[in-house]
Amino acid sequence: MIFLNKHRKHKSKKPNLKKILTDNHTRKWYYDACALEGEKVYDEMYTNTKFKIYPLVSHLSFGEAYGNVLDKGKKQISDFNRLISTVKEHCGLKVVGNDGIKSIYNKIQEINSRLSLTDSIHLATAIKNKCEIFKTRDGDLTNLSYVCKNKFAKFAKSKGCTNFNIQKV
Amino acid sequence: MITKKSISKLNINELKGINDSYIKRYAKKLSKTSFKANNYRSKKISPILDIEIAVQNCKRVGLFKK
Repeated sequence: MIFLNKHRKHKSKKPNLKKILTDNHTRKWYYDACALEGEKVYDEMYTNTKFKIYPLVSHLSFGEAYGNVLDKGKKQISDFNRLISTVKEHCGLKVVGNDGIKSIYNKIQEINSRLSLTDSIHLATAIKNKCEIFKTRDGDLTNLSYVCKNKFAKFAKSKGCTNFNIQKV
Repeated sequence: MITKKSISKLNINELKGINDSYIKRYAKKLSKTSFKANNYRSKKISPILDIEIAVQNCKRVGLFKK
């Protein structure tokens, strides 16, 4: 009996999304407002859940994306709401606040003063929440020089994010 | 993106459970049977298809940038 129990195959458990939303040690990818307006992102989010990588969105990026949709019409608003709720249900999308990033924000501005206020806030929020990848479509961030990206990666590493990288969607 | 190939990989019961004309058309082709709308509303939808449909709906109303 003991022998049988030892060699019994363990069934693969489904990831507990409620637990993930409260856990700070999971792998996370940050999506800014521009990234949320691309259709490829959502497939990626679902695929990543198989590798235990979960999408993270801040209040600012979600608010920006929602604000852009508001101008378009009622149908667009309901479709966007449905999309976000579906992604939250199946991919464990987490929405975090933008508070407590002042020191990180100042350091980012020190590294690159040309970055806009919102871009710096997005970056600071991603670093604060220890995200691995920063996904964006914004040219200001994707076209940063190699030296600058390297400086951001080093700074992120000092804050506890390993392999921090800015990637184009 | 929903393609013929990705739809054909799915279970026919999953396809029937979706209230989307585009998918219904392919489901009909695959099963070669006609089915009523009320019968497949209660069926379970797979997560990837649920996301795909939401994305397709957003694309149709012009939410996404190219």
